[in-house]
Amino acid sequence: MAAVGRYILDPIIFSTLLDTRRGAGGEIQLTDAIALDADHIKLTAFRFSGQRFDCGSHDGLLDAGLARQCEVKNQRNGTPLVTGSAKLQGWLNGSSPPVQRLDWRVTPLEGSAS
Amino acid sequence: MHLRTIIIPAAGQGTRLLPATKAVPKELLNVYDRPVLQFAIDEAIDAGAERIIVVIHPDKLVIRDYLTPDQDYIGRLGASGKTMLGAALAAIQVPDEVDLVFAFQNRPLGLGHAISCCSAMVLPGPVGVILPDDVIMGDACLTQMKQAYVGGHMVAAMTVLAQDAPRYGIFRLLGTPAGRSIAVSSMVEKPKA
Repeated sequence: MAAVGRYILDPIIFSTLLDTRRGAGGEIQLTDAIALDADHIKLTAFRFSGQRFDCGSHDGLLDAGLARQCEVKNQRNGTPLVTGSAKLQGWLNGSSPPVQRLDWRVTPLEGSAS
Repeated sequence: MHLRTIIIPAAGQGTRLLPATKAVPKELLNVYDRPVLQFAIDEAIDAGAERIIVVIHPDKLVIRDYLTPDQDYIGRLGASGKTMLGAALAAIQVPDEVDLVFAFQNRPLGLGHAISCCSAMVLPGPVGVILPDDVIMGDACLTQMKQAYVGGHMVAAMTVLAQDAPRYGIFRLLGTPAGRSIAVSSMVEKPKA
């Protein structure tokens, strides 16, 4: 299991961070402080429901944009939210990106042969 | 359980998203119709935050500009018949009862340091953290976590391919899952493959 960017932290973390040495990349890593605390307080991993996008990367940003587009258009059309849609979950988890399904977005350019 | 304070670290340099991030903070790049940061703000409000602390670098004050209400602008849009656009702008305003504050991280010393920068500003009790880079669609993630939280530290988790593990913090699992929660003995940042 891998950590994703959501945390609920006991306030003890602030004193632990003061004692945390610089780790990977010469940075003070939150993960290192959490690992230090794990010796004496409970540490829990939480498997959230939902789809996570790494919007710090070009691919993640685009994928998130496409998923958001589906969500917004579905809301506008009065169809159920994407989050509850098994069909979109399938797209998100499957190999084919949602963009391939958005055929209705393709309209002929003005002036092109019909 | 009340999650009174939620920290949103937004001081990173965004080098993975160059060249746009040479001039625009990555948190303000659009995910279709709204900036990355807006997802984090909305999730913090959904989780019931009384205080939202946004950590920014002094060179990224445009993030503060984005979050500053602009009633005049909304009024002008309304007056010129652009009511929908005015409504879109009004919709991103943080409710009055939520205290929105900024902490400055002057040096790029990591996420741990960004959290440290907020130590004097947090309200009593456990503290939520939302990394805006990780946009999560579906049920609000931090709200799910809050409902399952029983003390200590809790970290959101997902399964990744073994080959991708070196890009993440990885858990050493202890026991069997109880619902969506799993006890963890430790975690290690970006383990070597």
